[in-house]
Amino acid sequence: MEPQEQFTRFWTEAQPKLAGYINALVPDFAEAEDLLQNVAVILLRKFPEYDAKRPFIGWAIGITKREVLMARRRHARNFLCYQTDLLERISEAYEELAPELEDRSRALRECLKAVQGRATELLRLRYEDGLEPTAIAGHVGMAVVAVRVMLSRTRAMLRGCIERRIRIQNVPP
Amino acid sequence: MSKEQQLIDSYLDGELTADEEGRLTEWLAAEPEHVHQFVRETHLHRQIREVMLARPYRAYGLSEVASAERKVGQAPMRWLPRQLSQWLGLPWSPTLRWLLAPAVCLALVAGLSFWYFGPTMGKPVLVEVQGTGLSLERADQPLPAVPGTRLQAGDVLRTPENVSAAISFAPERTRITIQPGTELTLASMSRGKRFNLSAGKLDASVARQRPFQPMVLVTLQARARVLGTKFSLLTTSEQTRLEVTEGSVQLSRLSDAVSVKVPAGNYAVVSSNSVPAPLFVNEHRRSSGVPVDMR
Repeated sequence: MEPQEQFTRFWTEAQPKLAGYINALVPDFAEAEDLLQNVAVILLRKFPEYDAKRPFIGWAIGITKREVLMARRRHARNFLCYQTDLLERISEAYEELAPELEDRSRALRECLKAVQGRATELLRLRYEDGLEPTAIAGHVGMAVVAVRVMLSRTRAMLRGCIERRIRIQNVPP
Repeated sequence: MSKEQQLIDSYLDGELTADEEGRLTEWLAAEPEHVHQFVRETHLHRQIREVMLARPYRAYGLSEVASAERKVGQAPMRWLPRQLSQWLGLPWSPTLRWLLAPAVCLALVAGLSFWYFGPTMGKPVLVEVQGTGLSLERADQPLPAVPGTRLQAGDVLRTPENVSAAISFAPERTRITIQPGTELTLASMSRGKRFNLSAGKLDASVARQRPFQPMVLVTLQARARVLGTKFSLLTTSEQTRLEVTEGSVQLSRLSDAVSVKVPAGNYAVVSSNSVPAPLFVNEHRRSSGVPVDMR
């Protein structure tokens, strides 16, 4: 297999986890997506150095962590970037939980179908348009507190749905 | 919901106070399982974003597939090689058929790479303010509008008479100059730049945008769709006028979605008045160098 093709395969599998990892350290979607794009370019450039005996995700998280640390001046608002030991533990946890996160992503796609009405609109504004609760409140004419509560409840509902689906999936036949 | 859950939610929504940051750090440091919970939450947050962003494209893709299937009946895969061979004027040998699959895969990988490693899109920053009295409103609250202010979706900029301002998207070479007497809202920045021009005039120089993420400007009467060009857009309560100096801009009338592609050196007017049908968009060709009165 050509290196470029091999990279594309690895990248396609690792991308959602790396995106989640970056978002854990840089919650702003736009900033996180810019960083992810830089990481993609760096990983592609460094791919000849990758040791195929090691898991790709671990190698990629190591490089991503360095990038986040290098970019932390720009992300000074995100205090987690300054907690080096915590950063290390989050990186390890992402590597450790990688298979579980994949199951969770699959379950989420199904669970999102159950979200209806105003909750869908709030999710769209928060996650598709990237607006923060204060801006969403202005858009939909709701109190900021009400927006926060509704978003939290919707996420709690999704969390519950994901847990149920994963439990069912793990029950032996 | 637990207090820790609320802290994580606030962190992910960008609303954590300094005191809450401290509490979240302590909680994360206390138990390895807490870090695992945090990781699951941030992953959920990211994945909702990914799924929500993919929805419009999936809907578009499905409608395209449905339309292609309608076009060729029940056998689209038989129709494609035959049609390709006709277009390419090739004798469609078995070898060529076998070559088609890797070629399509390669094109797909190249397309995806182009999509992913495409131009970096910058964030809107207010870079220049000429005169005093520029107003910036965020969530109905006035903010100081000074050069260097980072703008967000939902922000409204109003320039009084004798005041102009410029927005830059550096490192991307896109710049919008807002002329006096203009009201501009940054409607959305997440999937392409979207602005609402309620009144006044702007001049824009737009760098190449990401595929399927054009810059879109909406006025009371029209929508201008831009991928990379230089143009001016003027709107009043009666009409919208677009002048293009480089590239081309797709201008659509909002009332019926009829659109016209305005090339460089041309201008077009969209009016909300009930004008005779053939004049729904007046496109006037002009010789280069002749100034256009935008007022």
